[in-house]
Amino acid sequence: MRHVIIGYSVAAISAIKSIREIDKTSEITVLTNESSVYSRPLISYFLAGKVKKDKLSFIPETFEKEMKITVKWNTAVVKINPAAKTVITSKKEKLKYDRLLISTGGTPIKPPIAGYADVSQEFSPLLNWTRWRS
Amino acid sequence: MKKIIIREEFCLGCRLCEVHCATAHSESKNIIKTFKSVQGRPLSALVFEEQGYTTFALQCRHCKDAPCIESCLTSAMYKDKHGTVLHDSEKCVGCWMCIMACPFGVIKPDLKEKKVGSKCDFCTGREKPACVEHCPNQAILLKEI
Repeated sequence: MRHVIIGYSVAAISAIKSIREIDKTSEITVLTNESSVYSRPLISYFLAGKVKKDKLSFIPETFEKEMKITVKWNTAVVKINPAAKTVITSKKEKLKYDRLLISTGGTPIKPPIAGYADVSQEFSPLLNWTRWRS
Repeated sequence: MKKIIIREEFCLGCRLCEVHCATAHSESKNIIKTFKSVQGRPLSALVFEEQGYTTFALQCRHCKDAPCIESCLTSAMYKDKHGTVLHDSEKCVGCWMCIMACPFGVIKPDLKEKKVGSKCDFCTGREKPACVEHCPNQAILLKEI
């Protein structure tokens, strides 16, 4: 069984843990357009400088090895072909899957506040708010 | 791993465990300074249970599959290499899911700072936890399990 998971945050991590509870051997590939795992509730704390970047993760460093997963960082999915059971990544890679999980999270709403349009840049992915802070 | 054993049949209800717990986690480590400070009476990291004549002190059980760690959004609640469940207040966002999830009710909220206020850290750095050391009737014991 080949599992492909799109997105790598809470939902994906819970899914990985649950798969590994009943299946230790299947291949799991995670595709994420981000370059690290970080806790969303800590975003505002990071912006305020209360938490350092190295404390943003909520999984142990050994998670990938422990769970025997392959994580492809900075790799967005551009196309899913459900008939052929394949996904195509931004790096022009074609991956076959038996089961696919889309756990990309949501897009934050942009409230209709005057002046907001000028600064309307979402706080995730991480890249955006690192720029925001500086 | 060493565990704190509670023997409620020996508990006198003197609450010295609470006093010494708060003192051990204070800045001054002095009872008078701790309890008479301007900040007011500090929180102890244990819960004192009392119903009728039955009394006992309850500390974090440092569960093997700790629900507080499972429910923490930011992994502020974590397990160290000795299996002790610890809390990193810097990472805590004060969602208090750990308080909701704890089956023993031993995590206390800090209403002022909106974070987790106190949580037993097994008195890391001390030879014996303060509650064990100061219990006059050995109602709280440290045992290898």
